[in-house]
Amino acid sequence: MYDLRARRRTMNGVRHTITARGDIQLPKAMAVGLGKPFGGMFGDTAELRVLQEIVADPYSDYTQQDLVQLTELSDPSVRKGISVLLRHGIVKNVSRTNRRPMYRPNTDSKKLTALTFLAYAVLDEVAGSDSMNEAVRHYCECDASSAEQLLLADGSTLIDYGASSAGENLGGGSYAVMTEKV
Amino acid sequence: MCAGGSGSEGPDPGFKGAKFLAWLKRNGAAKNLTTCLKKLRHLGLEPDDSIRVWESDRICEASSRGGKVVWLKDLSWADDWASVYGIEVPHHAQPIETKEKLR
Repeated sequence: MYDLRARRRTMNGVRHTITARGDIQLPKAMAVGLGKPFGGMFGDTAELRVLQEIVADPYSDYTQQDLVQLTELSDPSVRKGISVLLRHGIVKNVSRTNRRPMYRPNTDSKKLTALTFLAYAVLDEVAGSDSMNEAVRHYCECDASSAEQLLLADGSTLIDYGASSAGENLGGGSYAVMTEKV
Repeated sequence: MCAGGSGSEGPDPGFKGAKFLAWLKRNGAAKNLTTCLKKLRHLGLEPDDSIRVWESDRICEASSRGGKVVWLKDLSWADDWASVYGIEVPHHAQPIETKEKLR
């Protein structure tokens, strides 16, 4: 016998409802933008769906057929979406043959990085999480460690702008890189 | 360091599993079940190796508007492993070898 009343439970700080049948209900706030690229803030076009897919997993390679399956769009719509992303340098074609293109997200693209932060921001507003701040912090740490590695590689030294009168202090814990050959 | 964070709690989803969790998270932490199954296959995973064996208080199947969705409840678990595997944010500063390894 099922308990006929739905129960409210909290798990990992998230309130949700368990129905009389025992099904877990997705919180209503999360259901609003469900399946829409970036929570639906720019609408739901073919180009956006392809973009969302690339932003969500920038560490995989995609054939056109992969994107057709994942986005549930038609071939021409995916092709159109890909052409926009190619034009903006968000993906590149890494195939050696023209007949079977293979698309790889360009992880050097600042637009791709910024859109990743946006995806986290959309989630944070709905789930009350802190993902975007965490991601920004991680990004800044990576930038700093990469700068140090570069300096080691070419034998230069880092001038910390915070301590240098010649430089401009960028504030907020970030620093600009200025090298000096030893 | 960019990757290799320590102090991760919860079961290790593996590299492909961490990619799936990060994908789900960037899709708003919930996505319809059919699409999730397609993504798992795209990553070379089987549902029986992943969603259904991971603890249900971290990720589970839920209902929404009459359909089935996969809901990532434990965002910090996904974050921790994304950080360990270096897939939190695509980054120009990641060395080329790291980028190749992540594919």
